[in-house]
Amino acid sequence: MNKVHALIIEIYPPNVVICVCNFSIIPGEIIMPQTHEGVDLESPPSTPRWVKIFGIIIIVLVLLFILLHLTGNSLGGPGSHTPSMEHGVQQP
Amino acid sequence: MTMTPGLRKFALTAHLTFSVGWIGAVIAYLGLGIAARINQDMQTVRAAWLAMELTGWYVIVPLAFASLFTGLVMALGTKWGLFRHYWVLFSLVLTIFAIIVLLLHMPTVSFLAGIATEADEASLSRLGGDLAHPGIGLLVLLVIQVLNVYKPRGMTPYGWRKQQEERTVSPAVDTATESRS
Repeated sequence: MNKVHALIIEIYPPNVVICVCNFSIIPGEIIMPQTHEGVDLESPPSTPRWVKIFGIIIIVLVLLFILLHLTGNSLGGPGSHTPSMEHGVQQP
Repeated sequence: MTMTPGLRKFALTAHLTFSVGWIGAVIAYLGLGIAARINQDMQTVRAAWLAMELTGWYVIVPLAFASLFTGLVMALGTKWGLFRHYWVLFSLVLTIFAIIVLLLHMPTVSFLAGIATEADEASLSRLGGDLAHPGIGLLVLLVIQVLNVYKPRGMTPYGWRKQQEERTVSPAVDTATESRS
């Protein structure tokens, strides 16, 4: 028996998805594809893990960046070596 | 509103050109920043700072806005949408964040370029280069590029609702079309 598990082909545009799920090919017998057991099509899908991880990383980095600027640290950039005080000029 | 295939290809070409151009310009800026940091020749340091200012205002800033604009056109003019998929949403947020940081940082670059034109040798040697901002900026742009190329799966609740609405509307439209014919 040949079996194909959840072959999903996505074609542009993104909402066009061809899905072949659990087709069983037995000589002399046709078995219809199985239903999506356990998949609730009425409620929105859960947030993917990569989104959660990515979101946390972005929030932490943005907060760190803002905090560093508010405390006057310039990430080791040119501001830390600015000879503005010697010239009596205030940096913008 | 969905664009025609021809218009979509044109918009995609423009978006790719501006976005990749933005990355290239930041790499060039980073090269100038490194030259200003490591070079001992005062003329080179001075020239590097002037070039950084000009590259920033006349190349990087316009490319950043052009990339954002064409990105918005691509998102709103295709089925992807602006808030339907997480990768599009993250790309938008990171692009806006990069532009805000760029606009906040550029006056400092102009100020330092002004100092570089007038500073004596001792002050110029202490000026250093500009590495942190373009370095982190480049990292952010590469993350956006990876998101745009790989388009990782994940639909926002808003995108899912819109998809459900379209699915419920589509059969009604089909039925209406059939009854007319």
